[in-house]
Amino acid sequence: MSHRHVISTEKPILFDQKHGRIDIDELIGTCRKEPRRILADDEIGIVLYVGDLDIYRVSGFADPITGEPSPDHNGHWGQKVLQISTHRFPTKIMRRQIGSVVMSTTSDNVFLVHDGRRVRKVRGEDLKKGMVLNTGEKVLW
Amino acid sequence: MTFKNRLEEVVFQIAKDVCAQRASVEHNKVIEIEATDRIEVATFSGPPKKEIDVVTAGYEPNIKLLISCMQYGSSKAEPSDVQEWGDVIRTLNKYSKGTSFLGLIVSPSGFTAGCEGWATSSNLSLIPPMKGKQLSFEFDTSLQMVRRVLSALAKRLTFPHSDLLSPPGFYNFVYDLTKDFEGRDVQKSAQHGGRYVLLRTGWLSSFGELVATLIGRSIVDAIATTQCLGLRLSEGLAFRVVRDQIQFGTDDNCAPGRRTKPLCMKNLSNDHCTFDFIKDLVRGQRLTSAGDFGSHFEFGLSNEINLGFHPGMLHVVRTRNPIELNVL
Repeated sequence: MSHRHVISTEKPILFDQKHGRIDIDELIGTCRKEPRRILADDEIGIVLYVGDLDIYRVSGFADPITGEPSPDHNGHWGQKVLQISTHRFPTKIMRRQIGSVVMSTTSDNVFLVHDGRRVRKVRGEDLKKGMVLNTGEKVLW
Repeated sequence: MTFKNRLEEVVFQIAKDVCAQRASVEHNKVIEIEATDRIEVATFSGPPKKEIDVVTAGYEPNIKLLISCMQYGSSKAEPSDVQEWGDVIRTLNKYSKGTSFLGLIVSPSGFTAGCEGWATSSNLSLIPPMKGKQLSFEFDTSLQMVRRVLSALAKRLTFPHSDLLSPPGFYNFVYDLTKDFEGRDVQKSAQHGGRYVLLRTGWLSSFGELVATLIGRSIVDAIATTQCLGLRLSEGLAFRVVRDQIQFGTDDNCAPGRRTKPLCMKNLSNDHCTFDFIKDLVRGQRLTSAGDFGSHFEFGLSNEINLGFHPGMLHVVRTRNPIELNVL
């Protein structure tokens, strides 16, 4: 899969190429053995580079660049993860259903949505029912 | 060495900390393209050049981050500032012979709304980040962002990084590294902002992190000084109440003040007891719950004792019913 994504969450749901769950705390422990992977580790939180580790996240989104879907054997979408950020001070967390997936997102997460003939950025807290992401998925609530 | 302003001085120091000799600051530097042998850049006065003030952070392999420091007081940087820096980076990259140039603009007073599109399309990163609503970050927060970004970039470039070199790769990289400062600053300015602090690092923390760190640990001892009340916990952890501040985390064995015996109370009827009585009672007990009431802080111990930290006073209550048969 060529899908790449940067995720920012307290407890992301991650899996490997064989669809085995990856525990974020174990992953951080593994990355600590190779310090160059820890791009930041400070008061704000930890940022890991995992772009070459074949780590994926379950997502309702298609490829953020091409819009190309990539269903796995469960019909979920898999997105390759480039970077993982865990933050110690998340802004407000909210739940939204986008396409087939109900997800928790922070109020400052950025989404790209169609707005007439253009694509614009919208903060998580400003997502409205009926908006259509640039990947073609609709915000249901 | 002279600096245009304090911002430039500190940004240069950060670049030096991260990139050592590959960091430089230059004023009125005349930058020239590397590929001067192309016919489209042949002119009567020589190839294109531009005079700029720039802090350069150099990285392996052959990547230069050109930083523009804009300290405009309370005014925000405008699209023309971003366009100009974008032109510089674009031209240098177009006529480069091996060096890749990335651009960063630091403007602690922020950017006007029109800057974002010019920045993303030029792959220029902005500090502080533009987050789609009116936000203002403190001057020092912008500097913390710069340090985080420069340090992270050094590590990131040891992995494949072609994605950073085309728009909006580098813009997004910096955005992802800086956006979470919003949550930290919101917490800092909240009503009880700064109440929770991690020992050793002094980092701002939260009630949630306290619970995640301390619940389940056992009490090794209770401590009391003229300035704080607290607990020494298993696994080398500690908890202290210093005036209105809650400090916790890895024990630094540096409780402020002189050792003392605080006022100690037991039961709901507030009967006096000794500090030794409380110490004997709580030693070995596990922290099973926590509550912050603003005026005081409480731990539930082994699901049957409540230990309260009040200003200058400890208070223990057995929480088993009936109360009258379970007094301490």
